[in-house]
Amino acid sequence: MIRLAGVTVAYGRRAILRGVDLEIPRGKRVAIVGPNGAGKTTLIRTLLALAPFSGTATIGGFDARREGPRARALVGYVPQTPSFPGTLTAAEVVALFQELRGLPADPLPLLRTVGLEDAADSAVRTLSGGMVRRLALAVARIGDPPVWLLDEPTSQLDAEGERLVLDWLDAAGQEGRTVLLATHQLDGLDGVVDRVVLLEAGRIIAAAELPALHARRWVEVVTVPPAPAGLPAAAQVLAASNGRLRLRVPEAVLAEAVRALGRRPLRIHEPRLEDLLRDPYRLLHEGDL
Amino acid sequence: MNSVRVLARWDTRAVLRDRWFVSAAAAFGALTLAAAALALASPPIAGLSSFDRITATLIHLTMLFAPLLGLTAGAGWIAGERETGALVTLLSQPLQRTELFAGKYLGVARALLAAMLVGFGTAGMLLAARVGTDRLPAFLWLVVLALVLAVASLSLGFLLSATAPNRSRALGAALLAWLVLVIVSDLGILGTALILRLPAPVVLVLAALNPVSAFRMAAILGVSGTAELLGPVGLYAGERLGPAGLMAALCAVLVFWAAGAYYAGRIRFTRVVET
Repeated sequence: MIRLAGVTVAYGRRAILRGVDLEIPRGKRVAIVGPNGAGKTTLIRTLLALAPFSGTATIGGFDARREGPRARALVGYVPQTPSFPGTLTAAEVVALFQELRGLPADPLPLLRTVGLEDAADSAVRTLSGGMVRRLALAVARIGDPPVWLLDEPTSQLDAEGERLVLDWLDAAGQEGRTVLLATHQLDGLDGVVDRVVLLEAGRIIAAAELPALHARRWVEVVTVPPAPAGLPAAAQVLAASNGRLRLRVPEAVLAEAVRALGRRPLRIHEPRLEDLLRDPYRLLHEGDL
Repeated sequence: MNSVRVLARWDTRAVLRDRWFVSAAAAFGALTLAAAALALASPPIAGLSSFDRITATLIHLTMLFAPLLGLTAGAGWIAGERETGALVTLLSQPLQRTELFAGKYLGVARALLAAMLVGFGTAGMLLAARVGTDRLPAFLWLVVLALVLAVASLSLGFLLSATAPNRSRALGAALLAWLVLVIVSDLGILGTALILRLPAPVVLVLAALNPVSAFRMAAILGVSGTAELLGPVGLYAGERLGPAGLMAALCAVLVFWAAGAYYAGRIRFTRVVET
């Protein structure tokens, strides 16, 4: 459904994306994760032909550059910093985008789905950042597009708004929608995306299905030395110095390891999903201990 | 094409709610009415009729306000939406960039023309009530020329807006363009002609290249029916081209600015990278 092949984006000498290849089959939900400046937003903008690029980008088989309108007709997009004409009301904004897609203007049902029905007649310039993002979510749903491109869709949202996005992503899986989601952290998205791709400095450096990532999940346990004799074989001693013993323990044998440690004081650090993706054997920073 | 109509309709609505645009348009309307009333109330000067006094005033007001309204409305529009990010959301929709440009242009143009027609309409009604309708065709011709000048200025504004990164930079460029077109250009040509003793045809071409000057000459020619009021250069042009030929040439300059700047802006807009 979404395909990027050898996509390179450069502004002058600064390369933002360097030969990115990515294929997302119909109905799959993929999260691109990476630090600020990794190229996540640019990657999404490439699919909308908003960034100049070399290589190939297609949506639903339509070339993002040569058949831009046909490709974009399949897409609902939530930009990183959503914005709309400030003098129009929330209802007018939805009506405008409905009409642009050849649909009759009927904004209230969509505004209701994002909890903005009471702000329907408020000018966009008077809405809070979170409300504008909700409005962007409503606009992205216009025409029930089969593809969602979501750039940090939960930023600026309150807990209720975040829940709304997660519910939508959850439902997207059942609806067979293809989702490409850019985020700088995966916390909370566990279970609502199928695949995670790690982008760093414009390159995809790792990718994994979420179940596979969970299968190799581990935690780091910090306690006092020495290492007990009954520690499971899968548990690994990372360091034993300065009166601290650091162990890497696969989640599957965590209970057994804790039992072996007996009544010792201990602290358990859970790695983030992106840490697992980056390097399943990566140590936590000293500062985390 | 449907996208162009949709965008034009919503953009007209948005422009008519823009405080700067509404203030500037209201100022134009108020000044037009006030100028017409003052011209009517003042005693006859040098044999000039009430109609002549009103049109002379309106020509000068239009030379100041039509470019100002057109340039600033056009320059601020796309650049403003680029600055806030609203443009990216629109560009993510299933439409061509050329459609987006055309829709936005038409939307602002409709609001601009409506604002100017309100201003001229009030003055026209005052004129009809106090002076009669004998010279109405000449007045209407002045209105048409003013609208074409406004559209040419709008095209220039959109050209400046097409690649400007933000509203303030676009508006700065628009005000600079206004200063050049309305004030600096004429003074520059005058000074250059005096110092270099330029021949009449060169002065005529230099002056006519400026859409504001082309409007002034076309308006004076249209209202008075003679090129005599345009001075030696106008007399020369009238003799060479005839009043109708001169009028056609001046109108062509205005239309060229309107269409040329629009297409140049459209080309720039389709090539700009939204960062």
